[in-house]
Amino acid sequence: MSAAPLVEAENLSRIFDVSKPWLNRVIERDEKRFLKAVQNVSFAIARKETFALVGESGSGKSTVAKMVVGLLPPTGGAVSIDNVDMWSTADTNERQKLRRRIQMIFQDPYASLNPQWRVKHIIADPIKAFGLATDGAEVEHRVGELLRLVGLDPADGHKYPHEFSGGQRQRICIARALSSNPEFLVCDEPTSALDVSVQAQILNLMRDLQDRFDLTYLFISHNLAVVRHMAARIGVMYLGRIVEIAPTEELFRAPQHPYTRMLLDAVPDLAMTGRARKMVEGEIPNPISPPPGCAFHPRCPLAFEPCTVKIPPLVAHGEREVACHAVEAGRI
Amino acid sequence: MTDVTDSGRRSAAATASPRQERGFVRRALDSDLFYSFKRSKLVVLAAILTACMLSAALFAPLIAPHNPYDLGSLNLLDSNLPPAWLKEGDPRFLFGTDDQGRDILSTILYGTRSSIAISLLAVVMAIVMGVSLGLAAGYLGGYVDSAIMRIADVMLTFPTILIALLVNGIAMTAFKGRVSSGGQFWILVCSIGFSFWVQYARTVRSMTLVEKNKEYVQAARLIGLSRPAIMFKHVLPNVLSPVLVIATINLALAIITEATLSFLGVGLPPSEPSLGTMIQIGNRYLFSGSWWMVAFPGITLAVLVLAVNLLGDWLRDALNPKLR
Repeated sequence: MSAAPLVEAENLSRIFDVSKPWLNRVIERDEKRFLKAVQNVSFAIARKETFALVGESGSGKSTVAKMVVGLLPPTGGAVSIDNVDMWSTADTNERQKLRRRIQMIFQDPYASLNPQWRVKHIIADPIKAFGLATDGAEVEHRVGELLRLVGLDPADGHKYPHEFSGGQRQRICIARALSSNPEFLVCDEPTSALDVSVQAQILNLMRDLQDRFDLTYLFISHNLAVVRHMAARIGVMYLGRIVEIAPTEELFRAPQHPYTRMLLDAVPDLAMTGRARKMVEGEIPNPISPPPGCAFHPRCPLAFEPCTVKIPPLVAHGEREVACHAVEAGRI
Repeated sequence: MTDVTDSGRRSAAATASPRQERGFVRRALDSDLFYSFKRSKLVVLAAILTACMLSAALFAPLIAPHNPYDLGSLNLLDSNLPPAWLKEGDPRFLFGTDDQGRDILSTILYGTRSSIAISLLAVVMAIVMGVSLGLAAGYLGGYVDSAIMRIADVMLTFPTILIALLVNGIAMTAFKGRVSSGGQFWILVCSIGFSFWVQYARTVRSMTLVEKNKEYVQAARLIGLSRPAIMFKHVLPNVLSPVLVIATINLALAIITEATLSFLGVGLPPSEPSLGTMIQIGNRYLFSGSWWMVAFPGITLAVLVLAVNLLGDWLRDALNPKLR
């Protein structure tokens, strides 16, 4: 990892208040209830690197993405881009400068484009908001350039989003994300709503653009094949915590954390046809009342006494970090 | 183009899609909405009736044979004349005259004009008020939402006409009863408009709650747009389609409400009657046999409300994707 990371998340936490309304609580004698969506998540992303977060639904991946990108204030911890803290900069001017450098590609290409706006206006919106071009012809030229960049025709700018297919829409989303010349792109499951054939096109487009504009990606996905194709390093999340961070090849070659192993075992593989395989057991527990100690212990084949009591810390082993008592005790 | 088949229409739409540079009228004639319009003869009839009455109201000063507002031209000797085709009728007054010798036809034309003007302005006022409040309640949430929606709930418990009467009464007291007919016009607009905003607010709020969680709103927040900018530029265009439907149906209701208020005597003064005022005046003479004073304005009102209502119902069905 290079010396100065572009993006740093430190002990990010997010707690949601999911209590019933005040009146119901008083009448039903209910306590306030909190959902700990993300707890003490820390990672650093170097310039031009792709860092991926994987995990099951409900593991807090998207919440991390929203906090990193500035849509959701964290309840604890900090995000800094180039050593500028995102949430403590009170100056709106500074904040706006920071926003220009971060953009996001969303999961659902059908909901992320305003259906009432022409594509050229959608793409021009960030350009105008950040004052990157003021003159109408200049904006138009830039929009055409961006559309060509993502493999669409500049004349398509006159159309409305509903005239495009899912893949084309995702291209439009990428064009919009690139319109403010960002350095850092957060991609929240950008291909999960697309056909497999289109997924590859979009992923390759994203890689090309990364090489061309020196982009840094935070890539959120539950698809391990996609992540392997895109990411240099991977963080595995379980119930709001990162359980393992490792360089991609190392993670796939020798997963350490029992949860990572379980995930990798679950990947469908033609070579394994007909052979017995380990099933994924249990499901993700309720994050409102997570199990004590290591949240994974009810599903873990290697669980022993400390697992039910103490939350395992993330311990570095070379380039890899693992949070597991069993790994530390050498039980694997 | 009398028997356009479904497939023929679809192929026409397909050839139209690649370049949308053709005129607005051509595209409008090609649309699904116009197709469903053409298919229902009743709706076409309603539209023609509405258009006729709107233009008659708009051009009333040009087409009316007399000016009912010009008191100098009235002659009491002409009062209570029956329609022209009856024995005692006067050919100058096609639908007869009222108790002050005003030509009923001309008064209907002028009355429809003020009825429609008041109702349209009232609906516009209700839309502006309801849409902004609903948008604010839905998008901002929290206390703003609770405050606006509780007020809306309370207003829903009162009948529309009661609220209109209340607003009217307050306005009259505030001006100590000395209100010009122009002032009375605006008081009517406000009282009807104020009693109709709740429906828009509730509809827009519920739509906003859905829209504000969509990712395009997040994309707009991401680039640091202000909340009013997101509300009015991004969310508003996506919540407006049901508003159009409610507005059409509400227009008919507003016409009735205006007529009711005028009938109850809190509407336009008898010197500048609307349809409701005419019916109220005619009502007094009904038992003396002067049926034409109440019948013609009544028929006009019924046809107008029915036509607008039919249009509104059709629009609601045509724009509802679930019924297609």
